[in-house]
Amino acid sequence: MKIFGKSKKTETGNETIVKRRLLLVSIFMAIIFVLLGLRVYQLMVVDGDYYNRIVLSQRQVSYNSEIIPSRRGDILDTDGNLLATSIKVYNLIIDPKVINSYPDNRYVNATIDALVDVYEYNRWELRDLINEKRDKAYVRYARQLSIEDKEKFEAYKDAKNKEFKEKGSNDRINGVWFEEEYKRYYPNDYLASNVIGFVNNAGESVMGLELYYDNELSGTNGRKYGYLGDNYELQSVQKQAIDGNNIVTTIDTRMQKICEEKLSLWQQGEIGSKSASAIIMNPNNGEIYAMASTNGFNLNDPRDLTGLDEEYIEEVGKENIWYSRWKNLCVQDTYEPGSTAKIVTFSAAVDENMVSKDATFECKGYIELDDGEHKWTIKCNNRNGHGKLNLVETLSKSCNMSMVEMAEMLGINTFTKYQKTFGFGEYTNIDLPNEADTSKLVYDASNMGRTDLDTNSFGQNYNCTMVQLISAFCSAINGGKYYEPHLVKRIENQNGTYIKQIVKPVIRKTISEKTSKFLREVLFETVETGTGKYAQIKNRNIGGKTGTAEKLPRADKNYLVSFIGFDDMDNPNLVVYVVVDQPNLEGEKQASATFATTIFHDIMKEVLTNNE
Amino acid sequence: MTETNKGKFEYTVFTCVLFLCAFGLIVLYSASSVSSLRIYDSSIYLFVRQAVFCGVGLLIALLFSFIPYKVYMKFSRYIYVACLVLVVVTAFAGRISRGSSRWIMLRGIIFQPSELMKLAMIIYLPKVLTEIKGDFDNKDNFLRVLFVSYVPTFIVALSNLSTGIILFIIATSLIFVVSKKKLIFIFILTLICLFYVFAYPMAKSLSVAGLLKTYQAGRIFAWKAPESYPDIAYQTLQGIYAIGSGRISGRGYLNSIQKAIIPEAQNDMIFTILCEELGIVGAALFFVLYIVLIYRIIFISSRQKNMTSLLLSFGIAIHIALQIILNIGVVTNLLPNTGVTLPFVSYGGSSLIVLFIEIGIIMSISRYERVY
Repeated sequence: MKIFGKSKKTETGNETIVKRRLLLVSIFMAIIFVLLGLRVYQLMVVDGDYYNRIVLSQRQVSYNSEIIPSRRGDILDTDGNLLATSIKVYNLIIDPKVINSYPDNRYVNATIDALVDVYEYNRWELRDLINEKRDKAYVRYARQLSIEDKEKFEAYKDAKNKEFKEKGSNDRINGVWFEEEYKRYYPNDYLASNVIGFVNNAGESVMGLELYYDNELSGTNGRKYGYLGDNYELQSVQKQAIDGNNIVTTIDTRMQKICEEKLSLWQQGEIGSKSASAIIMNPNNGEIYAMASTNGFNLNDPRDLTGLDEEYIEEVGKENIWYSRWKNLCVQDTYEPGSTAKIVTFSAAVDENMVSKDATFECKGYIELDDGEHKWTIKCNNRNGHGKLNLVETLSKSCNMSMVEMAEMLGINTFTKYQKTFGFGEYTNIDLPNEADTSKLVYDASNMGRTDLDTNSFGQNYNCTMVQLISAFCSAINGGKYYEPHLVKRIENQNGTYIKQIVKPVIRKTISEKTSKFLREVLFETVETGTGKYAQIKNRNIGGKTGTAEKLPRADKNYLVSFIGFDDMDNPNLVVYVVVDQPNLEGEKQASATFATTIFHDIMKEVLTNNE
Repeated sequence: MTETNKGKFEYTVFTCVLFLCAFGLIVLYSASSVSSLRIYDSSIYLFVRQAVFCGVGLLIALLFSFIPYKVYMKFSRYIYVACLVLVVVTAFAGRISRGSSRWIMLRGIIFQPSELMKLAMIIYLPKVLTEIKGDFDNKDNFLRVLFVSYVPTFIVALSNLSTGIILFIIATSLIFVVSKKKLIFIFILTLICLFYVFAYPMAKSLSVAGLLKTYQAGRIFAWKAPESYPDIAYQTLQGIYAIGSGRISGRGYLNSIQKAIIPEAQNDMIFTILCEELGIVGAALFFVLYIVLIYRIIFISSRQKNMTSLLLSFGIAIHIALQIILNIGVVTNLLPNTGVTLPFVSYGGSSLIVLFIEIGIIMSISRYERVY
């Protein structure tokens, strides 16, 4: 035990046992280290050649020969306008080995002169590069030149070389060539950025439709193989590139622009908010016409942070800022929906015949709950109570107490059944990546208590995404048909020939036709006489519902306000949902759904005006 | 006989760490360039960050080496309680903040409280064990040790199994060192060995019987039969190819082929790129540095007269050794895939800073200890 120093009594008096055990653990670790060493030896020395062959054979697929790039498909809006496209660009490759191939430097000066004349590159830099890398055959000197740039050089080269020949000079321009590549380009810069997503410089799609439909959009690169034929002549075989497909989205550029414009007017306005988002959807087939948030970014320069404070960037971290901008709030962010979700409770109660149309409710402004041990009070949004309400008024005045009453009539099992039917806690399966998982953010019948039921009845105490809520709402007003929300309706090849039509069938029935019709009338009444007055549009029968949700933690008094509505009452074909997250006001002043209702009104009005 | 060691600088430990960091950065530059370019559009972005972390870390280590370790032993209880609270908060805040519940963000710096928990455990458990003087028959003592060791272990394991395992082994080893009991430890060791041997046949038969779905036992399947589960075992397989293809002298620095396709090449998988580029010669160099470092820490530990500092330094030795064993065990597929970083080499701020603090503590113990 010499390595552990001389043995002496320690304070505990158990010194020999302690040291013996120390040694035991150390030996045990030493044995494991030896085993690890042996394993590494086995992999690297004994089986090394085998693994090396695997690595090299994997590599052959991607190196070895010249690649012919395939063109990535376009992303089009519903009318066929370009949202994302690929343009051919050229990388300028310098081959110092070729340029230096004659001792009389016949290529060097001519080539450098040409590059300086055409592109105004730095002469000395070029000279150094061609000199220093004389044993290299491939130096990528400039990236993504346009076709005009490329042709300019080629014309110059042809003319100049002809001139040299006529003069009888040995000088030639040589050792410069162009490599084809495609560059992703987004003609509208900011438009629908969080939905479309982008492709990074390494050619990988990072988010949005670009990522979700990557398999359709990306093609297969072709290849030029070279091999030595029978007479030792270099033969070459080409395998053509297969271009990717175009996807035709349901995005309506005009509506998308309206949404973004109205949201940004609000955001830049006097009050503004943490963020604001809007979705426009067709309730009769699940097509999404517009999906916008205030956190957008320039698709052609997604990492651009100009205009931001250096200190702020340092504090928050670049990547955090990027990700917060790239995130699609409508699909990836969850929140407690608030009163807009009362349609679930209300339509469930009507659908189950729990309430008749002449039923009345009494709201005294609060309700006391008692489980024998604890007591709670749940308050209504109107602290003084709504007094006596008929069935229509419970929703049009957004009375929490009546919703609690209805939920208790339904009971936990029926209530959660309707929540699930309306799609809460489940993926909507929208065709976008990273949809938030809400399965753990809602209750099911087995873990829901009475307080949970009561608070759920008016849209608190569970989380959903915007796309979940709008899909649920669509089914509630379209006669009870739940459609999968989606953004792509057709896939075509690059000649515009149709390949696949994407039609989403009705997935399930949420409520009866009759209930749905009644709900439309009630929502119309809500806008006519109830909490949604600001949504009224002249000569239109708009229906809708406001929502004010207190955010967690409740003590912070932050609110998320929203409005969801449709046009028009008899024949709904447009649904607009607006969410304003944390208006820039103090505490309870945030709690005004009017902010969202006004944005809804402005969007809907403009969409309808131009529609005619 | 007793003399103090005051003022003596712990050269062996510091030099080892310095070399590990330097070589580690060299390897990291190569391993991280591809994903750095992919994510940050700059091939040196991750390297520069790691270099800054290393520099700051070395300063922290030096700083800690000048604080007598008894100073923070005095606060160890509060450190421990604070970490425990952080761990509990992150574990249960997951539902509210609806994100991954492993990370916490303070002023833009993201760190994992579970990393800090390791440090807190290593600092506080020795104090508790010293206070009870090895008397586990007293029920209060027994319960206290049980709570201090395994409550945070369990909570951490819920969201981050590998760190949970590390905490478990550190705590159990320290208890083993001071306890007079034998049987219970033999039992635990046997259980671990049995699980190691029988995990695969058990998982296989349960899944054949339909009691276990493939995705639940995926890690186990991918571990024992990687070729049959190429999708789940992709990272493991490509890692093994990379290690093996390094052979004796390696493919040469910066020449790794596999770094373009191995996920997390700069992080948990960095050892694979090291082997591919530098061969078994490079791997051996790291092995030697690690072994010298751990041997030296155990040596310092063994000559402690004071029980607390003995356990404290031994805990640190176990922690560093464990990270190495688990990391290399995973990349060579001796263990199922779980995310453990390779000390001083893998990319990552919070684990690195914790390691440097530990090194500082060791240097402090070496400086202020009383030796025979």
